[in-house]
Amino acid sequence: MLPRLLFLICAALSASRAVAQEQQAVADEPLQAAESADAAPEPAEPEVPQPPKKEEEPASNPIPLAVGGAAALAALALLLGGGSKKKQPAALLLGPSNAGKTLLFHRLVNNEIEETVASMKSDEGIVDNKLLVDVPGHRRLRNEVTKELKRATKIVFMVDAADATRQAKAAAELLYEIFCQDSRPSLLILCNKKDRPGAKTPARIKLTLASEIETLHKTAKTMGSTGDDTQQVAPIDTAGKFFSFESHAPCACTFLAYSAREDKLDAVREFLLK
Amino acid sequence: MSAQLDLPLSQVLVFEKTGRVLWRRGAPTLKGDPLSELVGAYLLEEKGGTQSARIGDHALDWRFVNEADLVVVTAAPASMELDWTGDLCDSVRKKVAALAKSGHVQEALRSSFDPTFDGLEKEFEARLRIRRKKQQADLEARKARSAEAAQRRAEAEAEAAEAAEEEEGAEKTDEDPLARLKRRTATKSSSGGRRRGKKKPTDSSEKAGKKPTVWRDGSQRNKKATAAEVAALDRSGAHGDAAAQQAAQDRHLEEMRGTYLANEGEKAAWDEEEELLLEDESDDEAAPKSWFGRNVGNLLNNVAGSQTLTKEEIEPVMADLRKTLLEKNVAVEVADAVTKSVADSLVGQKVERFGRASTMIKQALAAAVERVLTPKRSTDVLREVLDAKRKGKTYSIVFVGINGVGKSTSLSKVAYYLKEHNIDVMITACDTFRSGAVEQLRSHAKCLDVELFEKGYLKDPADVARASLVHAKQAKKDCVLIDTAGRMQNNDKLMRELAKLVSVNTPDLVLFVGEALVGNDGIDQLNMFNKSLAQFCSDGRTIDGLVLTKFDTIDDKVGATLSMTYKTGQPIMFIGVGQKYTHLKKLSVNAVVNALFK
Repeated sequence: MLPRLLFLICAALSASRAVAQEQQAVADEPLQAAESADAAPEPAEPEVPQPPKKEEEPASNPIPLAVGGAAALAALALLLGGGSKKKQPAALLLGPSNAGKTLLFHRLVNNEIEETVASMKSDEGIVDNKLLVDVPGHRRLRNEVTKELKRATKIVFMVDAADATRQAKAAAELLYEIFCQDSRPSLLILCNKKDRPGAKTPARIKLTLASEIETLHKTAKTMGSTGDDTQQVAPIDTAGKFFSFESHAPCACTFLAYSAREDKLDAVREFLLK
Repeated sequence: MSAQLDLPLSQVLVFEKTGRVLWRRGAPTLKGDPLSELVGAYLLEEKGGTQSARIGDHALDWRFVNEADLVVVTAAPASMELDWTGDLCDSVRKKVAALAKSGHVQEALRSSFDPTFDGLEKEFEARLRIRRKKQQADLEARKARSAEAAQRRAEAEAEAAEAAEEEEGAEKTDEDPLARLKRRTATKSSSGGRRRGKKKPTDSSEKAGKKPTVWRDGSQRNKKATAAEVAALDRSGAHGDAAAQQAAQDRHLEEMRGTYLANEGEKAAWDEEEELLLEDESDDEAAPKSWFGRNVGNLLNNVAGSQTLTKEEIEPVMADLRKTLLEKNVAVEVADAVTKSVADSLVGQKVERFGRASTMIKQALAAAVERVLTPKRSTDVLREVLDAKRKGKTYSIVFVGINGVGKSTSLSKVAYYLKEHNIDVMITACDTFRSGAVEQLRSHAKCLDVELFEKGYLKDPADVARASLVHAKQAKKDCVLIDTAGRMQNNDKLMRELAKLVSVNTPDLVLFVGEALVGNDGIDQLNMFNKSLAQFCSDGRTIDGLVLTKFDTIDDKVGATLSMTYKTGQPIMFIGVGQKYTHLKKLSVNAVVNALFK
C-alpha cells in the first residue's frame, strides 16, 4: 500500500499530465473541487461535476498541474483520514420498479434508447452539466433510496401510468419517504407510458396517490421499531384533513403525462435546469 | 441486437447491473418477464450462487462478470430441458470477461460481440451434432440389444417348454459369449444411471431429463435409422464377406466406444473434453486481440494503484465474517450461502482506490444482508386492513407455527394493536386439537374486549374458519385473526389440515410465528413447515410473513432474523418483545445490520 502511494505521489508531482488526470479521478470529487478553488481560481471549469468511477470517459476539462499535486496530497489526507466520502449533490430519478427510469436516464445522458432490465445498482451520469442518479426501484433496495435522498436537489419521479393501480402503493410509499425527510427537493412526477392502452391520466394518478399517502400518513407511526434509531417525525401536517398534493405536500409537485420512449426531453431538462 | 438464435434458446443477453442491456440475441421480451423475477427473487436475495433456476416457463442460467459489473443470462424454454445452457452461459461469460480485461467493455460488446457469439453458437451446434450422433448410435445399439434379447428370450422360452432345468443351464453356457457381455453391460449401465440419480438428488431432474432429450430434427433422424445399420451393429448375425466385415467392425468399434463412453462416463467425461477445447480456443483467441489493451490497462491500473480482488484475498476475510455471523446465531447453512454468494460477486472486482480490501468485503456483505432483510413489500398490516375496510372487505390473518412459540399471544398483540387504531377485530379459535386452547383464547378475547368465534373442539378447523369468515362478513367486522393449533412440520395429518384451512379460506395473510432465539434446527423447521404447506395446499401457497417472538431475550444474537428472511424470502412483519399486549414492534433493519457487523 505504502510504496504504491509513494509512487503515486511521485508520479503526480513529476507532472505527467495524463497521470495527473488519472489522479484527479482518484481524488474525491468535492475535495478536489475545493482544492482547485483554493489553488487556482479557474474559470468555473472544475465546478463541473464529473461522473465518478468511469475512467473510460475522456476527461474534457484541462486541470492545472498544481491541482494534480494538490489532489495527490488531498488523496493522502483522505487515506489517512479513513476515506469517508461525502456524495455530491445530484438530481435523482426515483419511482417503482419498471416505471421506465433507466430508459429515461440513458436518453438523457447518452441520448440513446436502450433496452433495459430491472436495475440492481444505481447509475450516475451528467445531463446539462448536472449530476443525475438513476436509483433502482426494487423494494429490497429501499435503503439505497434513503441514502441517495440525502443529496437530492431535484427529483424526477416516475410511475407507470398503464400499471398505476398496481404501482400506486409502492409509489406512495416512496413519495411518503421523500416527504418525510429533511431536504425539500422539488418533484416532477412523470406518468410514464401514456401511449399504452389503459394508461391513467395524471389527474387520476394524483388522486390515487393522494389517497394512498393519506392511509400511510395514518398508519406510518403507529408502531415503534426494534432499533433505537428514532426516525424523523412525519413532517406532513394535514391538520386532520384528507391529504392533497396542493395543500399538504412539503415540496412542489408537478404531474405530467409522459412517454420516456417517444416524447421530447425538453420538459425534463427544463425541470432539471430550473 | 435483434438477430435470431440458431440454437434452440429464447434469449441470450448481457446486461449491466445498473439495468442497461448491452447485448442481446433472440426474443426482445419473454413471456412472464422472467428477468425481473430473476433480479428480484435471486440476485437481490443473494441466491445468485445457484446460477440456474426455472422461472415461469423458462429455464434461466446466469453468470456474473464482476470485472465489469455485468450479468450474462441465457433463457431457454423450460419444457425442452436442455442441459448444456449452463456451459454456453459459461462460455459467453469467458468471452465477455476477456473483453472486460481489455477495457471499454460496453463499446466492445456492442460493436464486436456478434461474431464472437456466432463462433460460440457454431461450436455448440457442432457439440450438439456430435452428441446427437452419439445418442443415435446409443439408441441403435440399444435397439439391437433389445432385439437380440427378445429373440433370446423367445428361444429360451421355447426350450424351457420342452427341456428340464438342467438342460436350461446347459443352454446358458452355449449362449453366444458376446451376447452375454452385451447383456451384462446393458444391466450395468442401467444400474449405473440409477445410482447417479440417487447420489445427486438436486441434479436428478436435470439428469433425468437428459436421456429423453430428443432433438427436433434428431428424433427424425433416429426414426430414419435404417435396418441395414441395425444389422451391421448386430455382429452376432453378421457373417458376410471379410472386407465388408472389417469395415463394419471398425465402424462398430467406433460406435461401441461412443456407447460405452456415453454409458459409463456419461456426460462428465465428454463435457470435460469439450470444456478443455473451449478454454483452449478462448485463450488462443483472446490473447492476440486483447494483449495490447490488457497490458496497457494493467500498467494504468498499477500507476493508479487499483487492483482487483482475488479469491485468495477474499476467503480469509470472509471466513472471519462468517464466524461473526455464526456467533450472532445465524444458521450455518444461511451464513455459508450468503458469504459464498457475496464472495462470488466480489472476485475480480476492482478495489476502490485507497480502499482496503477487508473493508470493501465487509461493506459488501453488510449491504447484502441489508438487502435480504429489507422487505420486498410493505409490512404495514394496518394499512392493508384499512385498504380492505375502504373496499368493504374483511381482512383475514392466519397465525401458524409449531407448538409453544407464542402464537396466541402474538395474535392477541396484533388484535390489540389493530383495535387501538379503530379496527373492529374478531378472533377465531381454530385450535380444535389441544384441550384448553379455546379457553386460553377466550380469556385473551375478554381481556381485549374483542369478539371470539369458536365452535369448540372436534371440528375441522377449516370449517370453523370458514364459518367465522361468513359470520364476520355479516357482522361487518374489519379484520379476523385466526388462531391455529401448534404443529410440528413432520405431522402430516395436522399439516394437511392446516393446508386445507389455508386453501379453502384463502386468507389475506398467513403469518408464521417463530422464536427469535432459534438456531439451525429452527430454520430447518421453518423450511419444512413451508414446504409441507406448499405441498398440501392445492394452490401451492406458502407463508406470507414472519412474526418473531421473544426478541427481548436474545440481546444482540439477532441471527434468526437473517436466517428466516433468507430461507423464506418473506419479511418479518412483527417482533414480540415482552409479555404485554403493547410489546409488539417492527423490525429495524439497520439495527440488525449494526448488531451483526458492529
